[in-house]
Amino acid sequence: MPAEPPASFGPPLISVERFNYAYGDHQVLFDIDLPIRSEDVTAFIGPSGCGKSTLLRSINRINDLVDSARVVSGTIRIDGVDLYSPEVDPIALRRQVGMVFQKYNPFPRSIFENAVYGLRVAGVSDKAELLDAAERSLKAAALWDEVKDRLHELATGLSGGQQQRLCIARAIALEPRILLMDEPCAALDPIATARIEELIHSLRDRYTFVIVTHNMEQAKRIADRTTFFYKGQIIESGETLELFTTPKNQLTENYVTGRLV
Amino acid sequence: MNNPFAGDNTRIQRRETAARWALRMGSYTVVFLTVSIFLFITFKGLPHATKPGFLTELTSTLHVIESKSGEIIQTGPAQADAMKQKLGDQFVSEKTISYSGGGILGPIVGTALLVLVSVSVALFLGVCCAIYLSEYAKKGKFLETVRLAILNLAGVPSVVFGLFGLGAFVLTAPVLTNAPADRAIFVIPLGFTNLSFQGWDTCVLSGGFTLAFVILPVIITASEQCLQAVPQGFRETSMALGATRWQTIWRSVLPFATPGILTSTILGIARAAGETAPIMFTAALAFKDKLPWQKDLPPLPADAGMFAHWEQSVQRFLGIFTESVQALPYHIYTLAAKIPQNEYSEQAQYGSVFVFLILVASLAATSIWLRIHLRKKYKW
Repeated sequence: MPAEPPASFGPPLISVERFNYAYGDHQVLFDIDLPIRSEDVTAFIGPSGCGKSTLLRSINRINDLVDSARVVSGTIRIDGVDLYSPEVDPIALRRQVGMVFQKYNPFPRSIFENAVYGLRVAGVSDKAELLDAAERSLKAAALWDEVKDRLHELATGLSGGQQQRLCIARAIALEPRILLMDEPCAALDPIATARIEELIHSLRDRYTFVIVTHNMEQAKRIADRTTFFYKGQIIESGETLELFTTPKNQLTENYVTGRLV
Repeated sequence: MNNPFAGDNTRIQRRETAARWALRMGSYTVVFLTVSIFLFITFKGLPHATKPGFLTELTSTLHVIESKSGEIIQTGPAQADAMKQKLGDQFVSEKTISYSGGGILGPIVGTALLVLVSVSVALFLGVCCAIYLSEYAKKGKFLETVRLAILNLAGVPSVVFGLFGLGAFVLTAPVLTNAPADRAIFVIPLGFTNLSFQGWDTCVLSGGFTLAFVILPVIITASEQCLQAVPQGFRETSMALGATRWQTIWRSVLPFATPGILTSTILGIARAAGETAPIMFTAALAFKDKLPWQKDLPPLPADAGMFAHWEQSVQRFLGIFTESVQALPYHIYTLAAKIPQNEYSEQAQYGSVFVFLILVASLAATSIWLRIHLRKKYKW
């Protein structure tokens, strides 16, 4: 059962309500109910194919790009606004809900052009404004000191961890409210992973993080609340520490102890 | 010593050897044939192709004059009479061979213009079509049907394209004119002028459009493959950063597909340059003594203003595309099939074929170079 947030907190920023989602005839999410509070770092865990990425990708509607994907019923609201209503422009939504993908994938352009991509497509062309935004976001992503002298070199020449931090910088250049991360460290070595986790810590007051991860240690380290998905359903959701130490559900216990794959 | 690993000459092993040799012989045959064709043409064509003026003069009739002393003089129509007079009673005989004298500047220029028009048209239409198919169209029955249609288009014989071009562009395509021709299929009056469906006549434009349809399937298929090769992640990232679909295509898909599209375009150029049938009815002439821009326009009065001069320059430029031209493949066809064969026509033939071969080979080489060069530049 999804746990309700304690009453002392205000209404959730993101609220998933009776959400059913399918690819063609193949339903992948069943009756998802989940409140996500703005002050929390929220982690989604669960075995591959459990639907956690699909839910994440439904929050910024990037899954609209998949031809057969459709909402069967229910909805997701941010600040009470139904994201799937016809009045919502997915482009405007995505400017406020940033996303970082599993495979670090900067464009084969300069570091600077990557950092300001979102601003450029939003129509900003003032050089000073772009430079300012690039500096701000690269600093926030703890990358500025490493790249400030080679902003105009190809981003693909950076190390994997640097590339992923550039992807984070690129997402926060738009000053979104929410940052969705789909297994952001899956392709990184432990040191680069640690730096990304530090980064999430340092930014958690500015953005609401929702992170999909396969790494349970990572969920323990970074998340305030964790939600466990299994076969398209939420099995358990609650305080991270509680979910890992005293899971209420047998499936959750099996998963966090490594007996369920 | 007893060797347990010695091969026994069984049927399985003999079959392996036979298969290897059969495949090897097949490959060697292909290489041998290609090399011998190339060497043969080089051997026969190079001496004539390197004669002075072959690349820089217009085609003309060749006059072969024989003198009493057994000397044989090859000359153009302009000098033939003077030469005969000079020889006086030394003159024995004169033969004329059509299209075999002078150079092949006309066909080279014509082919260049046809390629320019066809590649511009095919690239624009083809890339538009490929982008739509790859980025916008939903996968399903319709898309499969369109793909099948494009594949079928690639299998249509080129002479059919020629006839299609004759019907569509030479005889029917619309032109803006104040005085519609009688043969116009129908005329739409626009007030200030008429849109008359009377065709463009045989000209560079008609031929170029026809050739564009010949290479369109190649360009569409290749462009679509290049677009598909751009990682899906680029599209998702771009859209996730608030880009529209078109912004995504323009900034993050097309730039990375361009090297591949260019490479396949160059192969398309080689194809367009070599086709004969599609231009036979739509653009090509066996003989023309002028280049497309050498057109007689009424001389301007002495006090003509800047605007009149400018207007005439534009007219002259546009006139290039409404002229019919000679083209290399059609010139080769003319020399080989339309005139009686002798050693002189043969020379001109091999010279033209050699030049054409070099042209195609250098286009292919450019495409390979471009591919290597751009691959290095755009890696992800």
